[in-house]
Amino acid sequence: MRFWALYRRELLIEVRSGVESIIPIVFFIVVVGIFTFALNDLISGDSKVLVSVIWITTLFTSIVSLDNLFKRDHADGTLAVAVLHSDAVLSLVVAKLLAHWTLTGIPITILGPLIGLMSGMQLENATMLGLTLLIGTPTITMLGALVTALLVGLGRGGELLTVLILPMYIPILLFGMGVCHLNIDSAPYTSELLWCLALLSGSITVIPLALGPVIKLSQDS
Amino acid sequence: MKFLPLWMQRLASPQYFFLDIKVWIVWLYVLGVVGLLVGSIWGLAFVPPERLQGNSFRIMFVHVPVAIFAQIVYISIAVAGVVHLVWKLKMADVYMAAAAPVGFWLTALALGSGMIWGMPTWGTPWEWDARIVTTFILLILYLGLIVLRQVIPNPARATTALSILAIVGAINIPIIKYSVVWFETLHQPASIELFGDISIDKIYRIPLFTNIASVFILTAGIILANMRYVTILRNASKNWVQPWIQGRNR
Amino acid sequence: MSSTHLTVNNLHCQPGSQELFDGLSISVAAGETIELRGPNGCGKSTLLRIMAGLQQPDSGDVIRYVEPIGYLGHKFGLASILTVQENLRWTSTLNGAKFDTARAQELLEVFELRTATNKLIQELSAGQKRRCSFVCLLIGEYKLWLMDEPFSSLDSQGEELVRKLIQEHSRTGGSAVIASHAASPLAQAIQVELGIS
Repeated sequence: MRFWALYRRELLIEVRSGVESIIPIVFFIVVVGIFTFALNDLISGDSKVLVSVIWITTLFTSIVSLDNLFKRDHADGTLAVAVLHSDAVLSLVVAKLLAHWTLTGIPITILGPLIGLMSGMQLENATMLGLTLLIGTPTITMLGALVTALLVGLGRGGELLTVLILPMYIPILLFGMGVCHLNIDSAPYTSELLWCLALLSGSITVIPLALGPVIKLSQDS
Repeated sequence: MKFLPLWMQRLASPQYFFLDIKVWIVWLYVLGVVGLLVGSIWGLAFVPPERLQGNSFRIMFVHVPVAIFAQIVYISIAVAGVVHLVWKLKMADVYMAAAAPVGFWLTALALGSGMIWGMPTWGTPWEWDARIVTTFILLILYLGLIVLRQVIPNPARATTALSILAIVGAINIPIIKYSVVWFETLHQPASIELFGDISIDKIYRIPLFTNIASVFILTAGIILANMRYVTILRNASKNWVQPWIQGRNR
Repeated sequence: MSSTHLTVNNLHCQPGSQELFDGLSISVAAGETIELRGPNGCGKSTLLRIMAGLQQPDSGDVIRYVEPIGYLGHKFGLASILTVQENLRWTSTLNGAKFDTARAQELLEVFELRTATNKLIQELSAGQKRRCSFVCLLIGEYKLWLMDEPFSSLDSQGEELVRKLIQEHSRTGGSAVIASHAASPLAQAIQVELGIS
């Protein structure tokens, strides 16, 4: 009950902020577009390059979008009010993560395979791309949120985010992309896929619980 | 903490740590430098050339120990992070601050020596293969740890942030270790496995292990010396530090 | 049955080179209003943040017997692109309470914000925002209020209203700690003078 109310509030804020909320997705489309244009002769139908491009752009998109995750609430003081309600913090954090994933993860999961299909990717490979993105984007959102939370309220957080966050994304990138590549090669990919799921379930277990204390600490400037 | 011997308990307090540890550092430095000289000279001059790689393999005696400890220091920082988060031990924080730059230079050395080794054997200093990339990422992780401490003004917050970053980053270590197995790479498989056969000939083992032990001892010495320095910075306002800041020691 | 809401014991905090508080101990009981006074930089805001748990002292204990705590800082604590009503609703959601529309309307009436119910926070003036955060404090039904300069950006009429409000709050068993620069002290408040040591 409380959770959905908090979730609705996050979405409402995103909707109210208008164009700002769809910038990450626009960024995603533009960057993938530029890549396919620049690597025109490398990308053909079922090439692995397209899969890699989509996966890497997903990482960059998350960096673009995460910067705002806690910034607005910190600036107007609502984050400070929220952390004082210790029993609501977990719901609030999960609501924020879910809202972020709804607005960036889900569109990317749909757009990624769609772009693949438009470039002549086989349906099976596109489906696998969608599946790995479905597993990968929530993991990326959570890992990114954790690192972002470490930097809440620091003036120059934005630039630093890139340096701190990208190393954290490497495992999910390697495995997610690896599954797609193996699938294109018609090689077995079960263990890599299970690793993706392990990273997802590990993140779901730990990160929402860790985020509350981290955000509380961030108020201590 | 009753179960610890007294000398260990003393080390948990900044002041006694600072006073007690100095003798250790001197001995660690002496032992490390001597060991490194013995191992390196042995490895460079007295060991026959390798069957396939000729003389170029001799950089192994630097590359392998340094690469091992580049990873181990990172793991130890993550462990110190856990210790900080769970027990709030002051020295864990000091350890993290002191070890990060040391780990950074070890990783840089591992990458550098690897590039030199790569030129004659692979014909290229740099290849975007999983092992090299992940070691490169280890370098960035260390950089992140160093930079993060500088941008967060509040020390309590900085330490907790560092602990979390180190622990999450530690996911990368097993991937560096096993990327050789998981992904097809140019890099040769690990020569030494903790539980299993050592694929290195007996003649090469002794100088290699001497160097591994020496790099360990030297790294420990440098980190401890660095910890002393961090301790004195943190406690600059305390009375017991004053004689050490103002003049040479008593 | 203890009616203490908050105790602070032997507090030390040294943000720069300067030691604040010097082992300060305060206890806040139900029905008490404590007014913190002192020059700029003596640590009033810091003390309030430590009491709320937003900041950790270097040493000393803070024990909070009531949760959650109503905190009013320099920032208004209102999401600027949500309306007044939506912000109030969020406050009661955080408390796990059902949003009482009638009560909200009543409080908005008292604070002369009735016409602004569906306006975005960013369209309000500073004084109106301040009033709105008081309404949040009341909607949240917090027992302990921590207020940092509550009279800033309020007109004299608003200040009078808030003074009455704090009195009413302490009469009904609530407690408050207030950092203030106001010329006249609050009625019936315990004065705590913080100095620079």
